[in-house]
Amino acid sequence: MTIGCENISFSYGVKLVLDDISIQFEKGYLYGVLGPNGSGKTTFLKVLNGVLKSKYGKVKVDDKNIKKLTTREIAKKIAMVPQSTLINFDFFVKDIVMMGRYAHVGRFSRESNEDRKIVNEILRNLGLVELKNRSFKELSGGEQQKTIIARALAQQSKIILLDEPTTHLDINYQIELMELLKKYVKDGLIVIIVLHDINIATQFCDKIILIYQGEIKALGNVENTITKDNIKSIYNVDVIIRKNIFTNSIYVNPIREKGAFSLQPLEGTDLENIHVIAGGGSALEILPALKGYNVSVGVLNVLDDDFILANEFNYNIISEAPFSPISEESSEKLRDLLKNVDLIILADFPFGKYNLENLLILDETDKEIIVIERNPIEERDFTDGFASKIYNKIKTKKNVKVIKNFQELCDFSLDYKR
Amino acid sequence: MIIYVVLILGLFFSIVYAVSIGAVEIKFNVVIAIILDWLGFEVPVIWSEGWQAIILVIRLPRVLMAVVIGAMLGVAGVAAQGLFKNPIADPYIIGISSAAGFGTALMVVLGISFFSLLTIPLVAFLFAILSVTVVYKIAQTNYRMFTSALILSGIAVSFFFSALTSFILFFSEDKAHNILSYLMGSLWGVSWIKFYIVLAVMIPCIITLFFYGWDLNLMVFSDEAAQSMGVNIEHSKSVILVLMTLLTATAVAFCGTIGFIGLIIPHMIRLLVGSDNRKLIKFSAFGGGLLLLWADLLARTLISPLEIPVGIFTALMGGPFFLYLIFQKKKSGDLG
Repeated sequence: MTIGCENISFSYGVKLVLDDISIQFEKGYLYGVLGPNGSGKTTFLKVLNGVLKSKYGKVKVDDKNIKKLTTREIAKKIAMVPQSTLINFDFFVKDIVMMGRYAHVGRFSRESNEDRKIVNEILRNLGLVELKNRSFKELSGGEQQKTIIARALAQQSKIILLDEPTTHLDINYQIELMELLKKYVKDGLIVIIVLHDINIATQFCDKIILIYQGEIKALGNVENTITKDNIKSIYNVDVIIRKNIFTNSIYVNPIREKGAFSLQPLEGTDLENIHVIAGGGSALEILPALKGYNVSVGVLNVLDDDFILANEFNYNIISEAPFSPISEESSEKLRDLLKNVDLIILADFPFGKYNLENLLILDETDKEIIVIERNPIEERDFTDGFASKIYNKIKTKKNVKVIKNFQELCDFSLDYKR
Repeated sequence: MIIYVVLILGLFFSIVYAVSIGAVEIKFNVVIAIILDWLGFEVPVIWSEGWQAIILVIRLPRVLMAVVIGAMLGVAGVAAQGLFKNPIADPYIIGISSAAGFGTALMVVLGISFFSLLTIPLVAFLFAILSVTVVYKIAQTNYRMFTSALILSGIAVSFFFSALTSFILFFSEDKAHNILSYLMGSLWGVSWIKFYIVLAVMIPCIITLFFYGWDLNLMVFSDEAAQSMGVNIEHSKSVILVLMTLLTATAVAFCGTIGFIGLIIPHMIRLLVGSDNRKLIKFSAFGGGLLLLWADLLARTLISPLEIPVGIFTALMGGPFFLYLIFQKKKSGDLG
């Protein structure tokens, strides 16, 4: 059982939707097809199962050109699960699943006991037995989608194509569905699934096909295809790609370029150099908002969330090795740096003895300081009150302004102009 | 099994009852005797020649015609609703009835009905086929048929022929009554030859359609989904469309536009037996036959000796029923 395509191109009228695509799919892999809306993913699936006929190139199933096969023959080899299913006439769940047997039952015969056995087994495997006498329209979206998958499985084809089947589903159904597909892949099926959620794809798929403007942008393992550069060039967003320590798969986080707020550089001001003291992800919303200024960050531990984000933006970072206290050297760097900044922003992160030095150095300077305080210092003081003492002292200084949320930060930038 | 016995017995007694009713009342047992005798059985009952003529020449073909036409329209309705994936579609939606109506009006006004009794039905049939062919060609692109385009162009063609018919009606003066009674649909003037022709169209069409019942079931999904399950969708759609057209065009050619049977029968039967088109086709044949038989009986007896065109009757029944469906949908919040 094989499926592959050679140099297929497809166009609706004059609009070229697929442009010279060639892939050979292999047994035992779960293929995820990703790409922005309108990039040709759905068309790709439809060409693969012969619903659309490509003018150029050929799709080969079991080494036969798909155009030479009858619809019934194709249905026995390839099943398809569409994005969602709306019906105008109601049917029982068991009847819908039985429809998957169409290709196996002749026009002049009726469904046999064998067909019923197959349907019942699939209903059992998918946990649909209790629903089998319910009408399809009464089911929830998740149950409907499961019924349609059962219908596809009833075709007993070795290749299953799914077109964004999880789009309308709750997270629990999404996971359940993907786990189910993984199981069928393990049993030797080829599963090709169009997804729009990159992180579902990275977590469950074995191979990724990135389609962009009708062409394959990347094809291969998750790590090789889901890269910062590929995502940027296809979706035009900046992302951070990290490893999920729980699932050992990578996941993609978009960087909020224009997040909840933004600080635009103001004309005619001398606000230019901003330093941010942060840690533990406390500045994730602030850092993107500072884009355009000359920003420095630190002292931070390498691999801290704030470090990773600052690094994405190519900000100037004073860093320390993970889990180590701030060294003499870093302290000196910070002192030097602060001499030349116009504004210092202190984010509201927890203080321990490792990062306390930041606060001590801040106490020495008489530059403009903004203290962000969404949580009281007492809740994030792990130095037996020592940090609180310095913090509160800084707050009383004349050059310090305390703000409680980000909106105030924007307002401050306007104040600064005056 | 029992249900079929009940249906066939019900149909038989309905036919016998309908045949016994009329300007001349004929006893039930005599009617049965005459029919059995006609079917070739020996019966020890005596009846007058006049009764025999009334029954065998006038009433029986008319009643049987009602059954057959009703069955055709009921089954054509199942096909239309399945094909158009729409529970409010009916076989007239693509212009068959207005084209046939125009053909008839043209023949009547030109006075060409004298060559043979079959001239008008033949011309009406040809116009119906012509209109569907045009509509089909419009809806067809080089690789598929779009049912939405089929409906839209059908409506356009339908309006076109209706306008032409109105034009003829407006200038036809004394012949307007003839044309109108045809347009409203009536079973007046049925003969055995007409009945046999209609029967000869009905039987193969309904049987073939029955074997496309599962295709119709799968068409509840999108064309592409049905195709991915193995339905040769363009082939199946064409076959079903042709069968639907043959059934409807024949019915309309011989008996005019008898409305609402193609709409309400599939609906009613669906409420009773569910959406499986194989069952729907079988039971809609029975249901349509029974409904038209009783409607025609009422139409010719209610204000006898005057006869109301049966199409008015079915429409009178169908209108409220349609409203009932809408209210049902409203109640279940399914109106969108």
